[in-house]
Amino acid sequence: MVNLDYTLFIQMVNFIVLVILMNFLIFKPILKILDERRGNIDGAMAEARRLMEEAERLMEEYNKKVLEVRQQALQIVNEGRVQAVEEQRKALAKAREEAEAQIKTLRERIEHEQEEASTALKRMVQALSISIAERLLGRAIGAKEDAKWES
Amino acid sequence: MYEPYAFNLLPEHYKYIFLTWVVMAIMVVLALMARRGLTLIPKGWQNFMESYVEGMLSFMSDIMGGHDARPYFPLIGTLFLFILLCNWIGLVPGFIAPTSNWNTTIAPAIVVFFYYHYVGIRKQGVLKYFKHFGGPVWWLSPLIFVLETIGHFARVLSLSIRLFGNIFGEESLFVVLFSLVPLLVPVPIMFLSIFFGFIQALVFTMLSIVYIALAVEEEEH
Repeated sequence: MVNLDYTLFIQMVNFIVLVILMNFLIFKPILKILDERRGNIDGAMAEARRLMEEAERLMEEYNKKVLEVRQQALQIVNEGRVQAVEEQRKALAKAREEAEAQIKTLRERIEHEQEEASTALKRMVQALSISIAERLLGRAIGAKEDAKWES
Repeated sequence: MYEPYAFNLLPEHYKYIFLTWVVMAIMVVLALMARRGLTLIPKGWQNFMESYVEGMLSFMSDIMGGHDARPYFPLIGTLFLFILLCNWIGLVPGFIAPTSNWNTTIAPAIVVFFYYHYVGIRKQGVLKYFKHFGGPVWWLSPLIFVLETIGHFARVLSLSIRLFGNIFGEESLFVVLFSLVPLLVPVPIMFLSIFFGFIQALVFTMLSIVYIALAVEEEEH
């Protein structure tokens, strides 16, 4: 039992054959798969990191663009407002002018009519006063006396 | 001194060689079953073998420190499983543990001996590797060289005899108890055999890893 004999070499051959067999059959493939898995995980993480950076960059660009567009919109609105104010002023001025012109014509007409009315009235007053005077005096008044009363 | 079972058909003297072949067959069958449909996401037997591989790799990395344990893995992986199954197969009635024979245990010990020397020489070159055998100071080096050489050969002996002695002792104890009270008394011994078989395989493997690590990291001496 405690003797070494030639079976030592048989067992050594057995063991070495076993190592080679196991290595070839299972250890090499499993090590390869472990590597592959780690490679996959690393690759996926790197990809995820890259995609996140990309997303951040795009988000920044988007934000910047939105800001720009908003500024542009603001500018356009301002310009529009200035223009509108300008036009409003112009329209107002024109309307005022027209109104004033109309008022002037109206006033002139009124004055004219007033004058006419006043002359007509004066004549009527004259005629009326002559007739009143005739009635009072009981006789016709000659033209001379018309002129006297005309003043 | 082998168990005197009635249904013992195997040739008496070479039982351990035959049982070594049986253990090899079991391991190859395990490997083939795990190999079926290797996928990136493991399931079933592949899971089992992968957990064994990863566990052994982490165990090796712990002992070897910073070095990469991968190149030395095939020998150590096979070694542990081989010794474990050899020890445990002795519990099957009618079988004996191949490791209860000194020839079986000294074979892996010699293989490990040559392997770690080979690895050390390949990593560091012949001269530098043997310079370590000289020791720290130059004027002590003949003495230390002798001591180191004896120490290295003693490693072979200690590895093999530790395993052989433990397993052979267990088997002998079992035989004695069985011939005394065959009813239920040997059962605790069998549980002990399972436990100690595992520990012996672990110790053999751990020491092999330590020797490899020592051979590889000689630079820091």
